[in-house]
Amino acid sequence: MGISDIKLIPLRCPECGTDIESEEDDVVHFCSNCGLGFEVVLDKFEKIDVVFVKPQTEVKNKILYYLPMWQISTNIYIEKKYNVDITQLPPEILIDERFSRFFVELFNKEKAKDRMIFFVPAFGVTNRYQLMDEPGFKFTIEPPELESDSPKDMVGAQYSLEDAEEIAKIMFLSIQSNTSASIMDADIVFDFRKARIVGIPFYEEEAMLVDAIKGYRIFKDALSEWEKIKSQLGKNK
Amino acid sequence: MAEGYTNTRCRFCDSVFLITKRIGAPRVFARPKIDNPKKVLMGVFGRNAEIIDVDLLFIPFIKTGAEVIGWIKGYKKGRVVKEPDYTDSGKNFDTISIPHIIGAERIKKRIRRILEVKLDPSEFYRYGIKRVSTEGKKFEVYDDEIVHRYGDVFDLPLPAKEYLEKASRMLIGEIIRDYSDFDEFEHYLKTIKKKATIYYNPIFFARIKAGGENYTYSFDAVDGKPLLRDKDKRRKDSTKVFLGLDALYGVIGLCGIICSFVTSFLGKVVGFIAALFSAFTVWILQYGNK
Repeated sequence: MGISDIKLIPLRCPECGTDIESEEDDVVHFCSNCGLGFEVVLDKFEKIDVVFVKPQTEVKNKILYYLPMWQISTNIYIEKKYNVDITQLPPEILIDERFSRFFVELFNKEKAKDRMIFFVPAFGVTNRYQLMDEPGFKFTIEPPELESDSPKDMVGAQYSLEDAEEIAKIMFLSIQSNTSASIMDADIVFDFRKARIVGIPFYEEEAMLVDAIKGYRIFKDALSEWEKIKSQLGKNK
Repeated sequence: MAEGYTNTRCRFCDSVFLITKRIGAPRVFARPKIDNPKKVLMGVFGRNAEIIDVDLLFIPFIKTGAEVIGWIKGYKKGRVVKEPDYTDSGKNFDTISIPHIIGAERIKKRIRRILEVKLDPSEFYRYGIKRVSTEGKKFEVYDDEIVHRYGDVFDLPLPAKEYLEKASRMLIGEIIRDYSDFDEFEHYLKTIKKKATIYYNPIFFARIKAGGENYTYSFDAVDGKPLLRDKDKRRKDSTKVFLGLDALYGVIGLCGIICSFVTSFLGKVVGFIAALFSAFTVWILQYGNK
């Protein structure tokens, strides 16, 4: 008898039975009927909370494409006290006063513990992505107010929660490494508490995709297979 | 089905199916397309070549991909060079040397790079697997029964997880290597979105005698591309060594005879020393290079 390592199971929503549309290398799948998300671990569907966000900028006559982003609530612990001055922060952090204060206070307290919400794109990116200010980073520094909307079509979630947590750590550590040499070796504990996927509406503007929440832009070619995602999402538009 | 895919669409009903893996990385295989390997070998080595044996083998290799994320920070001191300059002392120009630092560099950046690496688990044997290409070939889900029908199948010496770890180290090493000449260097790099596919691509592996030389030759059994051509020097060299050894064993034997027949003490000492010297030479010839 032949042995196969691979098994094929129909991709249907385990809650409502609707066929789910998904890209070939997606790791999270979204039901456009009931709005739930699923990660498949071995043969089992594991439910993931999903919220589709209402656009907050002017989007009249624009076609919206929803792209997935992880929103991870995290407790951060730092045992030792450091002396970090706000002026040592990198310019991309200093633009947000609230986050700058939060970051400095976290390092300047003994046995510090605070909560932080990371936004990490779940959509696949190309090597071009690192050349720009990513919306995930900007949303983390300055979290948007999110108003939920009805379920939408969404595909392209290539990063699992495990990967997203690793990216979140790097995001924090890169701010740390760009701040002061004295905190380079700081022992930081990340306790990832809750996570959900937020569907962020984007619209096209020439070679860019603009998010309809804060208006941040990303190059279309910084997204892995944007044209495929677009044709998949554009089926019902 | 391409590597790394998590789902696939049915061509007939347009439904999406999830690909779930039971153990480790998914395995795929290609069917051999070349049905007359001897003809290929004759084409390479000529009609008079003697094909000692030719086997169809499935030797697995692994294609892994990952995204390396993190940050790097480093400093390169550079070197001091003295360049001539001139000062105007009022009356005439004096030549002086002004030291400059060139090649100094400071880096501090975030890393997010998608990389791929191909691992050949048969690295201790020479089959030329690294030259196998997957482009344009049709790979099917691995089926033990089908591949065994075609030829011999090699197993991975280590679990797939260990190859993924090795690939991660290699990918991180690829990034660090660019900064090997930095005087100070720190990094925090991790691999995420790791994926691996084990490929079983059939190859023909042959031993051939042509023009008085022995060869090992392998080629891709799907597209016919040559993978390895090795002249077997070892056999010739070892034959020479063994011929030399035979003569030396003869000398030792002769010395023994001399020692037993010669009555003088001096003659016995000379015979013994000659035997000892020959034995030492035998030892050097046999084990000296090892």
